[in-house]
Amino acid sequence: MLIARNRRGWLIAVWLAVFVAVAILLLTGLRIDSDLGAFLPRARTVSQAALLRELEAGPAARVWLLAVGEETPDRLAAVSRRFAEHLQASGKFTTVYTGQTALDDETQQVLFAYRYLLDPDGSASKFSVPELRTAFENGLEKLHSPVSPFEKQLVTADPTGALQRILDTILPPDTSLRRRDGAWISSDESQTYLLAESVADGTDIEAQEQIAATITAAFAAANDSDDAVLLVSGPPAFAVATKKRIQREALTLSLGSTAILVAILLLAFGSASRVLLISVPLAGAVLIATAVTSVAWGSIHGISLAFGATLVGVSLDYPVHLVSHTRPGETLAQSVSRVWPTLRLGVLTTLLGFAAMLTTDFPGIQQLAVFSISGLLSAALLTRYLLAPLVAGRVERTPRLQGTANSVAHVLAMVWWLPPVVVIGGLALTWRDPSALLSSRIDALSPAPPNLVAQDRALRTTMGLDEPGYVLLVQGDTMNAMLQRQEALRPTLHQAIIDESLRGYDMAALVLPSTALQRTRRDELPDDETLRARIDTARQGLPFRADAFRAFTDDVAYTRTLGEVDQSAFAGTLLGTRLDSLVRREDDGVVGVVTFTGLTEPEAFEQMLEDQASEGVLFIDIQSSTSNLVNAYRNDILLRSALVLILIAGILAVALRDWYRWFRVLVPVLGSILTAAALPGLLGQSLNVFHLVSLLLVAGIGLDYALFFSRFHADAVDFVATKHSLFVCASSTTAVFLVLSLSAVPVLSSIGVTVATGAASAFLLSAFMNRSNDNAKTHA
Amino acid sequence: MISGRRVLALSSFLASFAGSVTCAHDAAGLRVLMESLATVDASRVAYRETKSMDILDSTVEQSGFLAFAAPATVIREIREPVVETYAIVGNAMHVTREGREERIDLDAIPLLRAFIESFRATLSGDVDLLEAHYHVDFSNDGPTWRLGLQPRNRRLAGFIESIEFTGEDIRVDRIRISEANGDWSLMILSPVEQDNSRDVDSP
Repeated sequence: MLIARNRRGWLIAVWLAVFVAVAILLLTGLRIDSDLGAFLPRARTVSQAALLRELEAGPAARVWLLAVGEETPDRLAAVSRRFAEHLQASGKFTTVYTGQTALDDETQQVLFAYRYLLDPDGSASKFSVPELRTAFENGLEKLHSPVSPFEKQLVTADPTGALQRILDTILPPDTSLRRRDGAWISSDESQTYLLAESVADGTDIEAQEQIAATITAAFAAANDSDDAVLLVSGPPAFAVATKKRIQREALTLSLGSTAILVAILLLAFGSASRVLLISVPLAGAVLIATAVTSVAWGSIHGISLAFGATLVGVSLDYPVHLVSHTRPGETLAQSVSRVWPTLRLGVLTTLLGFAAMLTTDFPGIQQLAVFSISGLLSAALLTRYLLAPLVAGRVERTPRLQGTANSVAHVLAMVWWLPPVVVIGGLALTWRDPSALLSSRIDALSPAPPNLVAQDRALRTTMGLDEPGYVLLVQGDTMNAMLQRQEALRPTLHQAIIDESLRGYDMAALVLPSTALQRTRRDELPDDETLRARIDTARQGLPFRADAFRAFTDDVAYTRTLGEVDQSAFAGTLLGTRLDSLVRREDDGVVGVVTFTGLTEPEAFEQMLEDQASEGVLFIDIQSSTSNLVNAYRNDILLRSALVLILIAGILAVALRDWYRWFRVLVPVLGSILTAAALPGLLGQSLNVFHLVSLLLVAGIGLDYALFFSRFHADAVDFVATKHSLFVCASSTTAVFLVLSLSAVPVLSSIGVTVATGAASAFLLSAFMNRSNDNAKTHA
Repeated sequence: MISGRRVLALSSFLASFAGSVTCAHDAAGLRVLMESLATVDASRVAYRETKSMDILDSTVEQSGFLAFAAPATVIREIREPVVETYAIVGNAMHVTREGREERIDLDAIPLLRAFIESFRATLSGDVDLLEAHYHVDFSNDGPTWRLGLQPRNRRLAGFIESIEFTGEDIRVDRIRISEANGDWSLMILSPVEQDNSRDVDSP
């Protein structure tokens, strides 16, 4: 007895030390990240990688879409102009775009100084006598302008119009924009728009949260009458809103489900201390799982924590089994021998399912797998090695609700046909529309609230910022190699514009010609003497004086001494930002993105590009590429899950060595998986990767229930204890996941629906399949 | 696309310049004149302009009509030797030539806006706007007056030395622009006959 007490003391001390250590570790070093991309698949090819980076961390992910409405057009313009000034002054944005076309002074000076190198149509012929003559004639006409005091200097310094061509090329056509008093306004003048690109990364949620606060404050300061209304959207807004929502829901949902759990446990066991006891392994498991995961990754994703804690929540079943099976007058330690073998088999097979997820390419799913494995394993060990010794001296009473559990199991076994009906319904639906079964949409994996996504789409449409359907990726070992490849594409792109199958395009080479091209242009510039002679010939009969074009000849001579411009000349400017968004540096080179507007015949266009056989050029249909990616990824998980199920069936066959019992275990397991897979379809949802992971949990739950229901029961009391324990487990699990299904975060609600359905049908089918067991033993 | 964003290229070019200036005047007289100008809701006059530039051997002549409508619309219709219209409406300048219209946002080009306000603020009698952009120097001799403007903006002063309006009562007779490099332009305004104006409205 003394030895036993000593051992017990040691055990408690050791576990306590572990808990304290883990708690300190978590309190001091827990980092929760909310990178929305963690649950996106990892890319397998260059194009997928570029695509994903564009989706999750590209410059687009830093852009806030802001719309001001509910005011008269004049006041809207005033509010949004002040709003833009406040935002700009905050220093948190690289650019605040309000439809303005003016470039900053610094950029303008660079463009002017390098105009003969950057000229998009630059060629030697621009300096020929006939072209100069035409240029001079045009210049003379410009002198009639009322703003000629300014214009005449441009006429004489840049008669060939190089600067004009540069600006025409790099500035977006302003036809899509409507401006009023310095604000970007919708065509019906009911809304003004701003695009603000943050300095901070789109994935840096803490920084984006501060920026959200900055935006709110800037708007409040600009909105003097308090009548205008601000609409905030864009990827960073999603990220912030999602984090807030997840945090809020994590709190309310976990409070809600905890209350339900406690109520069920109190009802079933009738004592607060026992409920507290039962929750010890779960609390320990969540602590340990969080610690293991954050040690393995350095931080833990918000979704892994929320979803993982929910998955591990099922381990509450373990102590419930133990307590339920303890007969009146026994201690917990005495029932361990009866419960443990079954529990162990259930836990091990469940872990197998999650282990398969370790090998996926999904960083988020791997985290979930590690979290679940470490959580479930520690819950089982804590139940076996901490719980029983903890209350070694304590004698148990008969739990409550045994009668209720008995009759519920009896009644539910009679509605065994419910799950098959759901499955048949699901099958019928799939037969009619097979594509509805599995979701290919990448945005279904995003935890962003759907109403925000819809609002964003509507806003983009009115702003004329339709999401690009196609991009062309141009690869090069160096920036210049890439630019040269883009330059080689220009004839093809121009042909497409002439054919009217393309309205416009944007790429880095439009802003910045390659050094090779700049060098050619510079070498082709006429020398001073030649140029002067040509000017003299070209101005014959025109009133220009002999020295009128001195600025022009001086600048051409100066250009001949210049080096080539590179990207660094535009660093920190609006144009630099534009270049950055069009070029991405990779480990092994540079990728340039070519974006299109009004591409009407993508197949023909792709064919045209292929005919040109350009090396390092990749045309991507974004919608179908992301679908392929998501499909490949989901199929991969589907395949793994199927293999794991077969493996589990094999292990069970070996472990049980009883074909009849094997059958009675497998039918509820498979039945509950099928039912849980079919119900979302009937509710109009397509299965995504989160549903699939939830199905693994369903398999684990089904195994647990079926193994306990089908195990050899020594007598009727034992069987009633089993039914009681499983009734408590199933009702608490179903209730908790039903609460989760109320979440507005798509991911969490999918999980909720799937697991609640799975747990309920696993209980029902296990009870049905093992009702003869019930009869045999109760009559015995 | 040739005319494209001509004035925009201009603004880019303007980004590379700078200059400086100072002055003083008769504030009461100015207020009286501006208040009477402010009573005019709309006006339309014919003009003849001569420009002298150091880059040209000869002067550049043009004629047409100038129209003003309160509070903020000024339109210059060039008739000879080219047909072009420059309409300043609110914060934009609409340039129509060869049947095409180009819209220029004046907010985007502060220099141009300051220059244009010299005409618009004078015609609409907005003394505050005028003084925001220019050092104003006013003097009068009975009904005839002279309004001299010198840009406050140093960049603008790098191009424009002064703008001088002369007139009688609420009529502007001449506008002379003296540029920093010695170039100048002189605009002589005269009343429009009734038929001439109708002729202009439907060319």
